[in-house]
Amino acid sequence: MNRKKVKAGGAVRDLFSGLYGLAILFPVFWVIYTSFKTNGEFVANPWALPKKWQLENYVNAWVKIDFQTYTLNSIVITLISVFLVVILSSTVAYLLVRTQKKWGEALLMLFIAGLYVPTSLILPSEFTVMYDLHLWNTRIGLVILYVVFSLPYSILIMSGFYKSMPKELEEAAAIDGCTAHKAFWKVIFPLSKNGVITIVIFNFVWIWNDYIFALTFLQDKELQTLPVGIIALMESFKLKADWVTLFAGLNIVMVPSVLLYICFQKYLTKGLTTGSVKG
Amino acid sequence: MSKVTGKKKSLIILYLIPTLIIYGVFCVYPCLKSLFLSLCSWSGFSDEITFVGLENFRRLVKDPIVWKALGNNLFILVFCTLFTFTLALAFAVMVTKSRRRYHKGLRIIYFIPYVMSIAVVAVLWTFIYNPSFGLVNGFLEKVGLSALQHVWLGESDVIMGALVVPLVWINVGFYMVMFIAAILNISEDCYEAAAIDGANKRQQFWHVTIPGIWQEIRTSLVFFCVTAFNYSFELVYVMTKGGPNRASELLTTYLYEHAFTYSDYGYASAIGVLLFAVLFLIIFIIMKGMKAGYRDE
Repeated sequence: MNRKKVKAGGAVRDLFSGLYGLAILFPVFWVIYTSFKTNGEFVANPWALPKKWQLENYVNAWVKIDFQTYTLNSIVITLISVFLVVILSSTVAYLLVRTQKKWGEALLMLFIAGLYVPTSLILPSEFTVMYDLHLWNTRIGLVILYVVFSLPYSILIMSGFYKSMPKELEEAAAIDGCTAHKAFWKVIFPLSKNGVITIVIFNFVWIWNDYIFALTFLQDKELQTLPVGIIALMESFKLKADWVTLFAGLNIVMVPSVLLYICFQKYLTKGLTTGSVKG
Repeated sequence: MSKVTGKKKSLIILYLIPTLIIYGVFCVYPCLKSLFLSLCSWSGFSDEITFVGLENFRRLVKDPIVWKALGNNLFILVFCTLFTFTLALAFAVMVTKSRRRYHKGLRIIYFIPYVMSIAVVAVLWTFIYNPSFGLVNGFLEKVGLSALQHVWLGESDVIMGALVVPLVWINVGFYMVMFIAAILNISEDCYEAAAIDGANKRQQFWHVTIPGIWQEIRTSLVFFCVTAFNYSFELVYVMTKGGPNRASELLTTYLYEHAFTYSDYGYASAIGVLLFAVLFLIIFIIMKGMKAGYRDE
């Protein structure tokens, strides 16, 4: 009796969790297979699979919207930002954890407090700062902002790693005649590999996907990144009711990040759970 | 020992000082500037900044759209949190110790929306809600519930509900992963002891799992409040622009409009200060309210 009840409960749970999984997967597949249809087919039956799989929509989306530029910008901006965040957050976290002074602790708190600033609130004043410094509408300016707003989380993660690292390591390195530089990059930094992987993945995801910073701080089309590109595509194709091209464009942005996630999902979920919720 | 610290000076000059400067200029300073601008009248591009005291806040209190937007922000915060955390916790408990491939697969799938750009999610859900070809209306028609069909993003009484769904859709997987890690940190002994005492699965959940991850729930909740402001802003900005007729206006979209459409930086900053005060209050309540910890009766 009891066992039967447990089994029935299990079936209900499986059904519910399966349906929720479907609510995630189906829209994704829908966008993918629709992008191979023609507009006529799509309007006649939005749910059906394409009669003939054709690539024309992708050619249209790629050529008409200049996806090449957007993609290149996204890659360059994201890679440079992530690289800089890793260098700066790991060194700063290390220094602040190891200086046993009051100001070290205070600065660490100042950096981590940045986690509680909703970025959407300071966009106007940030805009004026960027404008005054002639960094508005430049890729460099956007990179600086990505780095700055990645620091709080990254420093939080890295400082957690350095706190748990034995001090003797660096002392040994110093006795061996290492300069502080060498000791850090050759000994300490490699040992914090797991922390580095975490911040690389986490920052890559948010910077690659960011929409509002790119929209606010870049104006020229030649500088824009992919998320802004897809919105521009939507705005222009909505009026023409050229839905299938829009679906194709959406895929060009969506599929790479989903595939990348599926390849790296082991590291991502492991990384995100290392020390990140310990408040 | 002092030799070690002495050698660190070069590291400090090379890395700490520049990082502090950019963090100060691009994060701390804009925060303070927002605070200052909220007491001023300024169009952004003129050199004339007039100090007007609390004038912007007086205007704020009398502005019906501000109250409407604040209500919408709170609506999103309450319902997103409720659904996201309930689902994330339920799924985490279900899949954490399971060795079944089915559960491992679900774990991967649930996280997918979190790695998509908010821009992609917004466009995707604009399609899903489309009145003529969208999946929601199509589904309702197929199962014979045509009466429930709506122009989801165009009717003011369903729009806020329609916006909560994608926000939950994005975040469930992320918080599920957080909770899975927290549950794995609970010592297996606790469960064994509970089982020996005759606790069934449900009792184990309430008396072992929940107290065991209480701290993580609290931290996630605070983190979620901050991110919910950003996510909802971007989603609304792309999907509805605050429409129809301001029905989905948020404080954040209203702030953005005042700054970048009307160049009214003083008023925009005042909205920002109000929003920050609200957020601070909510975080304070969460921290205080949950500080006592989970009382296991």
